[in-house]
Amino acid sequence: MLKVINLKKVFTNEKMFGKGKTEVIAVAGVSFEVKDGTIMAIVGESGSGKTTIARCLAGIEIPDEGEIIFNNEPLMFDTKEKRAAVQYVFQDTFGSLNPRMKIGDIIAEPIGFHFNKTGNELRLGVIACLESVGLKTEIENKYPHELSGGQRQRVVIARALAMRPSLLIADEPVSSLDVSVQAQILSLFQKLNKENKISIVFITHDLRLVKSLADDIIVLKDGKIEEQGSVENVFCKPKSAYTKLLLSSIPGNPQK
Amino acid sequence: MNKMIMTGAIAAVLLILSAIAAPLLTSYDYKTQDISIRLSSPDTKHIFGTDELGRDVFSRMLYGARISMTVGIIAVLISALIGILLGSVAGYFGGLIDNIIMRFVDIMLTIPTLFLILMLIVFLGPSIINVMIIIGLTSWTDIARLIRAEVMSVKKLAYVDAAKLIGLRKRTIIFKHIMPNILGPIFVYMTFGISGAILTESGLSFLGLGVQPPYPSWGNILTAGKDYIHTAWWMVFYPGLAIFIAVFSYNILGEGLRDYFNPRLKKENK
Amino acid sequence: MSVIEIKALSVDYKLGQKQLLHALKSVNLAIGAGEALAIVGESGCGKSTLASSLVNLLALNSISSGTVLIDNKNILEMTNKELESVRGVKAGTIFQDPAASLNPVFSVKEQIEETIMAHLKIKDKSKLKEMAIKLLEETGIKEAQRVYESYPHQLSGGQQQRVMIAIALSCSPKILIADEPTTALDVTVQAQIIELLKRLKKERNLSLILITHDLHLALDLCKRVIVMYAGEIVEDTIMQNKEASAHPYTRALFEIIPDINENKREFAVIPGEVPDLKMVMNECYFKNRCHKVGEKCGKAHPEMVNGVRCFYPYTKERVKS
Repeated sequence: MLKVINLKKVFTNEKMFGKGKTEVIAVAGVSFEVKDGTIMAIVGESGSGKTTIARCLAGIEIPDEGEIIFNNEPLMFDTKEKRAAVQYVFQDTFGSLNPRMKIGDIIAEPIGFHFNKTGNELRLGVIACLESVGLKTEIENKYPHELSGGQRQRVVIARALAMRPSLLIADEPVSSLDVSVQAQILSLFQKLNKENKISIVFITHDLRLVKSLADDIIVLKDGKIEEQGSVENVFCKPKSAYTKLLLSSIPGNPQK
Repeated sequence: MNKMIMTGAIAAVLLILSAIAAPLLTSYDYKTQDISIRLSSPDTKHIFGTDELGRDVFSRMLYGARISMTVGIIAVLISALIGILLGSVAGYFGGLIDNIIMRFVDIMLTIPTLFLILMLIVFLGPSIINVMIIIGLTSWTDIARLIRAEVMSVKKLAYVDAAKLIGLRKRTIIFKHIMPNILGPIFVYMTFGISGAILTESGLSFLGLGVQPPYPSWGNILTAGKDYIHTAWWMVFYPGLAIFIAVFSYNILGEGLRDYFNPRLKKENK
Repeated sequence: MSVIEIKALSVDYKLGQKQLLHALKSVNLAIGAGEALAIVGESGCGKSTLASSLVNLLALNSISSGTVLIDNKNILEMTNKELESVRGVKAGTIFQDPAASLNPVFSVKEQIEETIMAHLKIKDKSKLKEMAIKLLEETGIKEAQRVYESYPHQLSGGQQQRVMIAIALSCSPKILIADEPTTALDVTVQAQIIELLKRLKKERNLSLILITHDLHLALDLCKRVIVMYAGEIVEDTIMQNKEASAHPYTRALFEIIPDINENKREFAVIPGEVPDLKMVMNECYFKNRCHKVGEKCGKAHPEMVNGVRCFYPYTKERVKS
């Protein structure tokens, strides 16, 4: 359903005085494919370009080179349907919710915009959305700062689901959460994948999450793919030395 | 609501109300002279005493409040209008436009404001209107910088990205997601700005370059009183007190608003 | 002989009017010389408060009672001047975010030498430099000379944390407190820092206190694990794997981190969230999230018995040592 061909992204910092220009190659030619209804994990350390790829897939960032094919046509966001199809879950649960809006209004905004619902119909939509991510409906009258990190991340997921996407990009969605809450959110992603048939691109630095979660994996380093394949193959028979290093760095791994 | 906002707001509203209701609160006209009772100390008839021309200080103060408050508020509105416009344009679009606006701000900041104001007044002549416009035109740089920084930081936040991901129009994003989140600093700046403008106006009038007699302002009542400070203390005490109360109440109102608009602080107070 | 002895330590935080958050509830703990101990729990369990009270760095709105003895002196009753002879000298501390703990306007040289000068009263410049370089080399920094002259922003996250460790060790403390020292770092760097701490502990015979939310990481470095929940110690055991633990919470903490050597497609979940620390209840605080709950759990608050605070603990597997 999603095909990425030779994706490149370079960030330039122009200095105000003088001619100095610094270029940072964030993504240096990356190609991969996400099959319908699967979870793809993109793993890498800081500076590997994984967030940039995610932002390009969601249309927040525009790639410099390469093609992104989504459902057999170039990825564009020119209609409401196309915009709704690809949604994004942020790492920072606090920053991704407008602090001045109540949870109910945050969820209502995309439903109202995409499905032209108002009044009672809109409210029912909001409630259904909150329930689908395991939140109680009382929460709709609260503000983001009144919620815990886990609850906020569920709200962010609910807002994305409100648009009924077929592809969900999740950028380190659990790394700012407590260990016990991480597992809850990961189970939620699994449920969405299985029950709602949503394909997921899951960005993370934590290899431990990937084994139970994803079907396929990409290991990134310095904007390039070090290794890619099915999770089983990469975990059991890693080919690249870097993947081996990553695996042996996992705390509590007896392999080292 | 916190106590600072309440106290500041009550004091500020009382000042504005008493300025509006001036004719109801006093039976004396602010410019009627009566030399026979000049410099009489406060009593039941003239509760703040009379000045060197026998005018009632209380009525002059009330009408002076009208002028001081109007100057303060209009001057701030002028500076906020310019500042918000230039600041948000610079912050939202960035690049060359930002560079041009901000360099202009830098140039403005290199000129000492007080000298600029004094110079302009000398050229344009002292009058209430000129004082308002000149204070407004010379004090927008701070708010422009503030708004630019706010817009730039809010623009980068994930919830603005989230709004783009919904597909919302630019206008909706700016007015629903960016503006409400910088409204706090704007209000805070404006309340501080009013107290600053009142002080500047008082200073100018004290120097004889602001509001001209016979119109009263707190500054020029103070000027008239300074010659009689040893014999008629009420002529400097009351206008001085009024300036103090006005500036103080707008300042604590501003401080209170600043805390109120900080959602993180609000969370901790709970 | 214990280096640190904590007796009946309680810490409350004042929240607004009349509300108290009970961050630590009567904690007892003794740490021996050369012992490596991990304090594990979710956030809001009191592990960071416990760490801060060890060097009396508690927030201003806190009220503490009980004693924290370091070399038989009560830290909680010390004046600021007396505390100076403890912080850094007897106990060094490293924190989660090295970038935030290093002062960006001073070079590494100035920051290390400042600590040595303040505590050891050494003024000789060449001697100071020699000591600083030696410390940096000891923490595994390859280009010690270059790092010595650098400013924090010129270093990578791993190097910054090594510099923090060098500063913490500059006065040769016998105790090292590491508060989530690798959370902000990449996995590969994390593994290196853990190896470094392991080596330093051995070479310097340090008493190491590691605060972490990651039980697997804790076991890589420490034999003894203290598990905290809702401001209390719920388990204090020498363990090397899940089977050696007894408290249902400890076991749950093991299970929620997926094991990459297993082929499981689902995540173990601890339902719900950490309880409200404002309440004091006469029941087990873990009751509502526990899968091994029995009738006693709601009726009384469990006491520590054999290193476990639970009415229905698992049987520990024997530890061979």
